[in-house]
Amino acid sequence: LARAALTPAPAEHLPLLTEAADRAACAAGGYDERHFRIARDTVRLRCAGRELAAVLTDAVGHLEVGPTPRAALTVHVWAGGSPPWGGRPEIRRWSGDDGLSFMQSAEDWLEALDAGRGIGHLWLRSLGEAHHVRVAPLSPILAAWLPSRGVVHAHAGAVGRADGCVLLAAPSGRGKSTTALACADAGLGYLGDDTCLLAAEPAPTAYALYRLVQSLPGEGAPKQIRHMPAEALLREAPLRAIAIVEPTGRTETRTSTASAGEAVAAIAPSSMLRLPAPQEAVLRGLARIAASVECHRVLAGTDRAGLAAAVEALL
Amino acid sequence: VRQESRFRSNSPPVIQETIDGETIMVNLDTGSYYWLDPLASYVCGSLEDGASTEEVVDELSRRFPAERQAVEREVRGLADRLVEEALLVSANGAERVERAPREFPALHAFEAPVFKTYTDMQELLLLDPVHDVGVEGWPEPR
Repeated sequence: LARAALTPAPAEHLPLLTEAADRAACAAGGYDERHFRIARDTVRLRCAGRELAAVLTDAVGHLEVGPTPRAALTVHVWAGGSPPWGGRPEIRRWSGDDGLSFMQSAEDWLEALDAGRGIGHLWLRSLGEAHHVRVAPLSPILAAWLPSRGVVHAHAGAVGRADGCVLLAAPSGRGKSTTALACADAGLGYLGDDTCLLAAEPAPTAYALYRLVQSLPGEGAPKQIRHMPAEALLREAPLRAIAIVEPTGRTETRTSTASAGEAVAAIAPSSMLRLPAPQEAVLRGLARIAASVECHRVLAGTDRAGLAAAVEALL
Repeated sequence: VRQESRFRSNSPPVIQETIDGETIMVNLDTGSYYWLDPLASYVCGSLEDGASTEEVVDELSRRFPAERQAVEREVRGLADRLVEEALLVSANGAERVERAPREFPALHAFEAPVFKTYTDMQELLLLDPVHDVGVEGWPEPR
């Protein structure tokens, strides 16, 4: 991007990223365009080239829908070349009437959202370094944009059945994935192990986002990524309860009642501080959801079947 | 905290929500977050409304006359913590705001208000230097 081409107005800056994406798409043989049902809206991804599209959409393939002329959000994705915006690690945010816009960049990637136009951008220096983008693509863009659609991008897992699900809350590395996978192995549907989408209206509902699961097979071992099988995936379900997961190291799992405030404290801070989300909207949304469902503490034991049974009993 | 100290919410950067009498507060500058039980929420909310610590002590002492000493110690201690954590800031000299009376939590006896601090998200903020920009626009590229 040429310095001289930029003006101070936000609306003038982000279209230049679209131009950069267009040039990359031209060089890659055109855009590979796909549509996805993200919570209650259709999101269009325009990836510069098929290889990039295959990598980026792997985690959300279960949400793919047919083309629609009117997507609520369009995201341009391209890879290669030099950083389109400086390359120094930083985050910038700008709140307007249409929601939270942001631009965050580093040496190897850039993500941006123009909330007013409903346009996002993702640039990667190379596909090989895009581990986080493969497992949880577009997280910053979706976390910033979804609250404007009445949906919160929550740092939580969720499991259940079509008629009801349980949200799994815990800090990173403290049992969400273990619990979600134990429940999936026991036959419960999987909506997510680390991220899911939540809406308070018209009734508390959880939506799936990603189908790739990261796991650590053992101490010091590299992370493994695997697809959840299609038959285990649940796209959405009414939210019945929030479970605050606390591993105990004991064999058996016990549950006890928790307050809505404790549930919000377990979910909200990481949901609104990890990503460029509109923080007050996220806190308010999660508080409304927690106030309208049962909240529990799951003192998670090592017996996986017992853990799954304890979670299922909350449905 | 001196007698007759008055405060106001340090918002922004502090945001908060109260659910079923409990309050979650987040200091977006530090990444620290807090859980307040119903009595701590009541005390904090009263201070945010402009009541002085002395007025809050007096009110609670009327409700629990046998516990005045404990009430005074706990209310002043909580006010100190709220200021230390930059959740409240001094507003001495400000008028008390006329607001609808807060609902007092259902307590049969005085219990020390509970105020829990969590700092596990601070590291994230240190990793991600956030630069808010104003309505004038996006940052100039380098």
